Amino acid sequence: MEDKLYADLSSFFKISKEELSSQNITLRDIMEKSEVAVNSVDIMEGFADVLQDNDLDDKVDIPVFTLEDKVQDVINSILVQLQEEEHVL
Amino acid sequence: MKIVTNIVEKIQKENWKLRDFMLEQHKYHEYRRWSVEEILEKYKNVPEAKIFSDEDKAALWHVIRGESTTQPGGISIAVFANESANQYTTINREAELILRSLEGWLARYWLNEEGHHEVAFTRLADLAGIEKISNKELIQHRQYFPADKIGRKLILQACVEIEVTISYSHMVKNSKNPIVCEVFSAIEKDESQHRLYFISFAKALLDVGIIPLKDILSMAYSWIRPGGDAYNTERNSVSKRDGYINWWETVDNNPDYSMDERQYKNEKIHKQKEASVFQFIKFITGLEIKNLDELKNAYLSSLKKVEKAA
Repeated sequence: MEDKLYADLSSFFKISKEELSSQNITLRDIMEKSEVAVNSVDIMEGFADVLQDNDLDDKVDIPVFTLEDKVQDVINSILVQLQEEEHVL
Repeated sequence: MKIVTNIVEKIQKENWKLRDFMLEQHKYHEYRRWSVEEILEKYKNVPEAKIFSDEDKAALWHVIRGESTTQPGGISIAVFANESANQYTTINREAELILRSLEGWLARYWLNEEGHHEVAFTRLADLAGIEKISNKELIQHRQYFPADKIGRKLILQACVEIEVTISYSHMVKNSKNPIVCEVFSAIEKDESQHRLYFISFAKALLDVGIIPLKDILSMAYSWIRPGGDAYNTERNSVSKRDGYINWWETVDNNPDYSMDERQYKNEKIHKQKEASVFQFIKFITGLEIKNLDELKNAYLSSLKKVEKAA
């Protein structure tokens, strides 16, 4: 699932998957590199869109973040929520 | 007297032109005006009007900074509305008329009224003996307003108007200083009317098809959801930024004028803000939203609608 999330985010933001999954990239970096993300609402929209495309929107909250957060940490927070959801089920 | 909220109907059924909107906006502006100098004069010999509590001073310190950011906001949206209107001249005359009407209202009346608020609060702050805002800080609050889509900008402004209406209402109910009560009350009413203007323009632009539903819902959701902009002051950290300052991110920055939590963050206040946001979503889109989950779902559904339309 992690790989798919990166791939879909890459497609949404039009940034290469390699770049997006590099260790220190932040959400602000996405905003600066992406031609489709102007501000934090666009970043939120990217995650919302990807969650919906993967039928995760009922299981996971749309992430709350600051632009200084790393992409990796936001993805991890989604994966943690999914694990918790599986435990509940 | 009322604000024109059915803009598209006025254009389509009553054949309103730009001059009709201009006349109506000006009439309403004159109808709503009030004088801070007259209020100060009225209370100049009233002893209670010279006593400013710590809560009064903290609120004044913050609201001066909040109101000062409206100038770059208004200029930026007015310029953007002008540029957008030019693009629609030949392809959507209704959209062009709405955008030019929005531009006129922002440039003439909203900026004037918000400037009036900043000056009114500054006059009160001087009376209260609050340290004067420095050139450096004031200029920081006048920096460029970030780029965004017009629908989101209008909704952001509507959300901010809700924030200040509710915060100012708290001061009206709780301050013991009659000048504070009267000035905050006058400005609260102005801000409430501004909210109605912003959502009326958003509805009109949605109705003529130039802004998508998702831009209405994304900004509303981003603002009011837990951890969203309306909660910024309660976050452990907020995004660092250069240029424009979001005043709601600066609450509590000065320990000498620290806001009491009752003034701006508690469950009751958040519920009031939520209810106001749900109310304007219904006005603009017709969607009945009863809670944040429903707002989230409506927003997610709107993303798919855009995809299908495209």
